[in-house]
Amino acid sequence: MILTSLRLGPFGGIPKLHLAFGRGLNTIVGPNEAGKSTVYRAIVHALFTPTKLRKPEFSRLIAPLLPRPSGDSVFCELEVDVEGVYRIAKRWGSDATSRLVTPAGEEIRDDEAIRNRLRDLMPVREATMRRVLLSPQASLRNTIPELETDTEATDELGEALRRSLFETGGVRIEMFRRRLSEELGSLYSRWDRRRNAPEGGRGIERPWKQGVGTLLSAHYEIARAERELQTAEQIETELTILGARAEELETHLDERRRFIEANEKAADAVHSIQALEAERAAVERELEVAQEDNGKWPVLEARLKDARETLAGLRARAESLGDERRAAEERIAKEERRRRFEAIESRRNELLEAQRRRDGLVPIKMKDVETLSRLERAIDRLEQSFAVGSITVTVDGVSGELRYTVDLRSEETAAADGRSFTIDGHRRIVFAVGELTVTAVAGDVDTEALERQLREARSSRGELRNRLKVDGAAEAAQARAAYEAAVREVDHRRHAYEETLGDDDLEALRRELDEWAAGGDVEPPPRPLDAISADAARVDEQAGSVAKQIEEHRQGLDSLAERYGSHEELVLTMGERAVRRKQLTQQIGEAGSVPPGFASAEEFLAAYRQAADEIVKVKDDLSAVRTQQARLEERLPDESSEEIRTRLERARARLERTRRRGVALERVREASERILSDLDTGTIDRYRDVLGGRIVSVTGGAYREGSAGETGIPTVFRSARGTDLPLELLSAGTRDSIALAVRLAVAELLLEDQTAPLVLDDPLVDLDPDRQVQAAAGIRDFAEKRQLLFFTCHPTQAELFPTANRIQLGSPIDPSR
Amino acid sequence: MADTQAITVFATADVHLGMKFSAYDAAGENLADARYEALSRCVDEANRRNADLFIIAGDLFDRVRVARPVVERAASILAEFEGAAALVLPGNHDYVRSGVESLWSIFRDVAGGRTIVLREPRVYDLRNYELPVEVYPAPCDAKHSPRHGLDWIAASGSEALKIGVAHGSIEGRTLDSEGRYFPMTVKELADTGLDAWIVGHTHVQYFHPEVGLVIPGTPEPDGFDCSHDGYAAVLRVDEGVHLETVPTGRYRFRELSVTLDPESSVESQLLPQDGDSGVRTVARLIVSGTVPGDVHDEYLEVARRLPMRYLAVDIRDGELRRSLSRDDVDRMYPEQSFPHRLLVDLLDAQAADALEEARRLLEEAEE
Repeated sequence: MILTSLRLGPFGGIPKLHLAFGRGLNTIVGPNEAGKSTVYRAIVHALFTPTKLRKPEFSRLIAPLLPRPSGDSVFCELEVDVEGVYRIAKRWGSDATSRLVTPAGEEIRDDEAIRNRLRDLMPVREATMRRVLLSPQASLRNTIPELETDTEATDELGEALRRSLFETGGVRIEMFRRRLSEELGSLYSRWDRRRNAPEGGRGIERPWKQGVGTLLSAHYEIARAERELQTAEQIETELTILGARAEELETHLDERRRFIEANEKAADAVHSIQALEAERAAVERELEVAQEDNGKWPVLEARLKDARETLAGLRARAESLGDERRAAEERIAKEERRRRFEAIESRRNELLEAQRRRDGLVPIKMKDVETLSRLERAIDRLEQSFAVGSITVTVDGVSGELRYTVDLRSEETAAADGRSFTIDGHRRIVFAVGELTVTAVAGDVDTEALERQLREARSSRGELRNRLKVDGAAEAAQARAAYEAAVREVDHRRHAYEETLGDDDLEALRRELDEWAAGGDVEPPPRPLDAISADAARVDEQAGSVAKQIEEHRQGLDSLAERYGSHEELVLTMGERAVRRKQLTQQIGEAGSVPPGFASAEEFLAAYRQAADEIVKVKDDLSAVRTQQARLEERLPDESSEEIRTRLERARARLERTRRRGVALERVREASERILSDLDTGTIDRYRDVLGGRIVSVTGGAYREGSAGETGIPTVFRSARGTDLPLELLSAGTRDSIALAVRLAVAELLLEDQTAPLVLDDPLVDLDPDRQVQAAAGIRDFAEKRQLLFFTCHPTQAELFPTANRIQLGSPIDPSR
Repeated sequence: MADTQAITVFATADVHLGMKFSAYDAAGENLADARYEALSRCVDEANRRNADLFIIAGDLFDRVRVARPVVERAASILAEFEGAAALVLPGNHDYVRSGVESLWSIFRDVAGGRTIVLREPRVYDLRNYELPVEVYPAPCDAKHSPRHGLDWIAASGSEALKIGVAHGSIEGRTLDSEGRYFPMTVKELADTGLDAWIVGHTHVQYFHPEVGLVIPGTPEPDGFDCSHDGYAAVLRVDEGVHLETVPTGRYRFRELSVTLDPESSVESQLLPQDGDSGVRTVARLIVSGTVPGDVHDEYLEVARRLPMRYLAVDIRDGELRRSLSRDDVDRMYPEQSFPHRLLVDLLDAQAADALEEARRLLEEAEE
């Protein structure tokens, strides 16, 4: 496709203009505001913009081009050569028309049909045509913006170049990715996509506060609303149940109240009847008692009188029996005194006898017995002293009477005849013959002293024996024992006597008996005392019984008197009770009856009381229900369930929209990542070749592509001196040259062998003169086979293309036209 | 009907004071406040017509636990009524119970002497207010109940005009499939023998002249299920019951389902109709259709401005699609470019939502 001519009239600030384009390089030269942009827009609109536009589109695209102040339409006509000339004439605004005339003379007026036909004529897709080849004024600089930024943050050049191909649509991939990522992040923040739940399972009970995404926000909003709604509905349900219960209770209460109300009088009447009946029963009981008392009163009086008389007789008899008993008792007492006197006297006699027996015995003391015993032992010992030893005296020659005493024996005599006479003794032998007395003693003993002691002892013994009237100590001991026994007997008898005597005085007793005897004996009692006592007891018992009867009768009479006052008044009372009974019977008859449906007053009153009790209970139950209702109502949310439901419905709609959008964004991310990683190797290789050639072309061979990175795109550039320079070390001018090379390479790549106009807008403006020359050469090279429209406001740059079809635009146009 | 003097009754119901409208964001406050204005407007209209009675047939309040200032403000407005008496029936949202009744206790404390709460199912004889009228109320005692409270009602033999006031669903007029809202029938109302019935709960006005039944409707719409503009009823009761409908609403709710017509102006399809400026309209716009890019762009522009044109707007355009064909993509982006590849990929996958998101993101990432 080759542009051949363009007619404007009016269009933008240009009232009328006709431009003719050459097949190769065309330079459109003019100062600023001369209409270069208008020409460019006219070409684009003629090719791509329908004339029937919606208002916003018209406002955006066409309205700025309307002639001022009052122009209402713009017109342009573009001729293109595609194996023949096609004429595209379009008018926007009033009388909007579109017209395409084919080389065959066919005329197409429908926008869409024109568009379709032009699409078929274009060597590349419409967008490629519009956005790459016929790019707007600033497109070149943005072709590879990283070349201009010169920052360390930029990606490697290879990646930048790679994107330069991808971003030919004017879309910044990084911006796209960043925005997509931001939107996904904003949407899914704190959301666990795998579990489709809040991150960390933090539901509404422990919600995230920071960084909550829109999805989680909507989720929380729903959860809150659902919880509130559930609370509200649950409370409302409970309130409804309680309300039904309250209604049921109130119905029951009303029914019970109506029953009470309907039967209140009947209940009063029944209560009245019951009271009257109770009174009548009491009156009847009183009357009955009075009648009974009336019969009892005279009987009691008669019985009291009889009993009193009986009691008097019994008391006289008791008195008589008392006398009899006292007489019998007196006699018995005297007999007893007599027997006592006799016993005392017997004891006294026994005492006297014992005293006599004691007094007849020698009172031998123990000392006497011991003295006598000691004397007897001394005598035995002294006598033994003379029995010890042996002595023999032989007297010879002595005649006559010989007297001799051997030991202690009495002197003996013997007639001595001269012959030998032998005397044997133990201790001493004294013999006297004649005047001669010879004493022979055995041993060294004072026999005389012994003999004297013996004599004295024997004397003492003899005296003692005499005094004691005993023969020896043994007898003395026996005598002493007998005496001691007599003494004890006396003591014993005395004790018995004194015990029997007691406090009595024997002599006084004797005199008493003597007086009795002097007074003569009493008549013996006619009956035994037991008999008298038995009679007396019987009489007493009878008297007691009668006295008790008297008391009972008296109390009975007292009670009657107390109750009635008098018998006469008792009779009056009977009359009164009888009258009252009659009255009560009449009143009961007039009081009414038990309501129908009840068998008895008791049954009716039981039902009545039950109703009253139920009222109290139902009131309590009702009060409890009311309290529960009030408590529940206090828990009601600040919005009605209807309002919460509205909120919930909106929240759910929002969540659904958010989910759907999330799914869509995820899909976009998946597709975009896949596409970005799936770059066609063939495309890249071809691109690299074309780009390399264009770099050499626009830099005059100063640079060519360097080594390729992982992406297959050059990452460094090699200078003519063989130095590899990474992006950041390239000069600004070189980067502009490379940007131009990228632009030309992309166009070449897209067009391949086909022809279409390429628009460049002042691509050399920032290059130094040398680079301008080199770049112009590269442009010329490109334009040898393709149409190129070189817009510039610098005539010197246009002069770099002396063979080009030069189109000179006039002086600046008047925007007010 | 007794041969008595004509009575003018201004009837309304379902004012729902205290509603929050929190689902409507910033507009919620306007909507909540508008309900007081509607009540005030009702009172003004009643005074302008020299109405004898002002009757609110239930749901003056939205909840039994509204804040005290809500109650005070309501009472203050009703106190402006210049007729004989203003009667307020507890409805199912502001029901009354014997025992604990804080809402109505507060209301009675702050209401004027001519404001009567019809809290008991008994005859209210208004002859004390120099009106030969007997009122037979059926107050609600719960939010939900399967039974209406009409059972006690039997017209007395007096010469007074007998007006019933109830609140609940009416068979054939109100959606109450589960019978939870004190359901009643027109026949049940007619069988009471009263001269007129004013029944709240149904937000849409209805009049049954033979029975003398009037459903006043809500004076201020409260949701999208209430599509009218808010009104009340003026009843003139003499030999019969005559109805006059009085507009009282400020805001209205409109749900608009629009399948965008690419041939018509988007704005004309989405902006308020009927000469309404929209500032008094809460709109729900359900937008669908498949439109060309320029139409979609126009739609987006219009949609951006819609919140300024309506009091509040809920736009649901999940089913609106920008038509995007392969040709369109070819026109938009150069071949081999990333945008071209991406859109073609999504087009082939028929991922409409993703395609739209991708298109938007690409556009935003465009130089």
